[in-house]
Amino acid sequence: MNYSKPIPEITLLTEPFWEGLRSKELRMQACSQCSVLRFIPKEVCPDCSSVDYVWQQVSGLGMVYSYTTIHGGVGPAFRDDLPFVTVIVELDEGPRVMSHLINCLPDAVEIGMRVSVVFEDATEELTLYKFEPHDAGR
Amino acid sequence: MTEQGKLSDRTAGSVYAESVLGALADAGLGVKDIDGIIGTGPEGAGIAGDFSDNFGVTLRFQAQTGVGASSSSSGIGIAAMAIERGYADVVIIPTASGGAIRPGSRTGGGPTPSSFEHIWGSNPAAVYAMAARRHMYEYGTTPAQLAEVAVAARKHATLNPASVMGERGLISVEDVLESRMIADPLHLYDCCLVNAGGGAIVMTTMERAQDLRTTPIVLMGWGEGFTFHDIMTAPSMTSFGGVVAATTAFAHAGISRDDIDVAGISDHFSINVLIELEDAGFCGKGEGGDFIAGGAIQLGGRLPVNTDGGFLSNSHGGGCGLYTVVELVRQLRGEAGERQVENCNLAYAHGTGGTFQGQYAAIFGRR
Repeated sequence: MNYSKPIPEITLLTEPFWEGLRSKELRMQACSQCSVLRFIPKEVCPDCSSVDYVWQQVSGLGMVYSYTTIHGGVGPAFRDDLPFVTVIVELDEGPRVMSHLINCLPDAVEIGMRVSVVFEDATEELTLYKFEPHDAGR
Repeated sequence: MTEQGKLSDRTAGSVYAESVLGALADAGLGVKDIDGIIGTGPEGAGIAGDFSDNFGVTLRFQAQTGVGASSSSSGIGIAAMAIERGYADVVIIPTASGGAIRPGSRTGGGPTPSSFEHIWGSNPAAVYAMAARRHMYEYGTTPAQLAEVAVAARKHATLNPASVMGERGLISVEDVLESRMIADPLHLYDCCLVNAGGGAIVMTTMERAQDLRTTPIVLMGWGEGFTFHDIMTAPSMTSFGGVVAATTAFAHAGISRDDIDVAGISDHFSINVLIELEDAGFCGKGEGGDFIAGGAIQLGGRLPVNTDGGFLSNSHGGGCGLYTVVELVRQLRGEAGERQVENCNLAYAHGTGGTFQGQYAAIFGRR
């Protein structure tokens, strides 16, 4: 597959996240001590400072916390996609996630709109997580 | 400050040298007087050894800060501490960029986005736009209110002969709203310049400063604030570390917001000024749009902000937060020419770096 956009740096810490995506699962770290979920991956729980955690699948459902339609000022890899919508989604489980909103006209986006995760294979090794309006797939 | 602009025929090193030598000449000091340095070197080179190489001096103090575009200017607090404790007598804080500047090139030594932002082609405009959008949602702020920031900056730039955009003339709220959309709701004129340039700050003890050729300006208060690194983990998208930075700075200075005659606030994007005015306590949270409306932050308004034209219309070259300090010092010295604020005694600086991660506040006064 020919994927020309930036590829994530996958580390020992973040590998389970990317591995989950390959099996169409959105996973986050859950603190073993206080159960709080966190994203992006961190070694320490920001709520209780515990270093113990497990990876837990989340629903992939949430709402648009904020968004912007990008019209320019991007690198060559994204130019063909203009305009596109970058979002920060607040998942039902709490953490916020930056991504792209797809299957939605830019004018139709609004804060608070329900969205759900969509998995997109970028390469054989890399699956990405994007979001679409929650009713889009029905 | 050096000339600001494309400077495509100059190396960053030459702009850097001009910054250092120009600031020293202004202060009436020589390179051999310097024994401390803070900030970042040309194009991110190591600072202390590089400075020794270039100017043939021995340094006994150095510090590097990671506050993005405000890396140089936030260093004034550290310089003050080092000078007070006797670890240095004269500290220089230079910044410079030159040559071919690429959009997105880094000169500040600041926060870098993680893979979780990078893969989406996210850039500062996108993050600032999402903060603006959230501010509009939470508080009813409008694009026209944001545009007031750019209008004020341009007006000030027209009174600043050294500014990059001054000669283009005034712009109106309508001009901003009709300019090309970059990252909705931010239009082209809501976004800072991309240019090169340099400048430097020299700091020393009051005892020594009072014998120098220029009017000494006192750093009365200073503070920093950090609440997150990745915008996804920020506790809020409309209020950041500026709250704690300003609270600390005002507590140290022992003055109130009403005492401030002029302010300089990082304006990488118009939304910064609105958010930082709120976070610094010049108005309540969510009241920034009303606060800046009707020319209130223009010269002659209730609080002139970015009287040099800011990053939007003066310069966004090098660690540009430094120019904010330079302008406030000029205002306090009474050297601001056509854009001079009358009876200017107390000034407030608020710098942000990265995408709101790094924040510092400082208060300056005449002796």
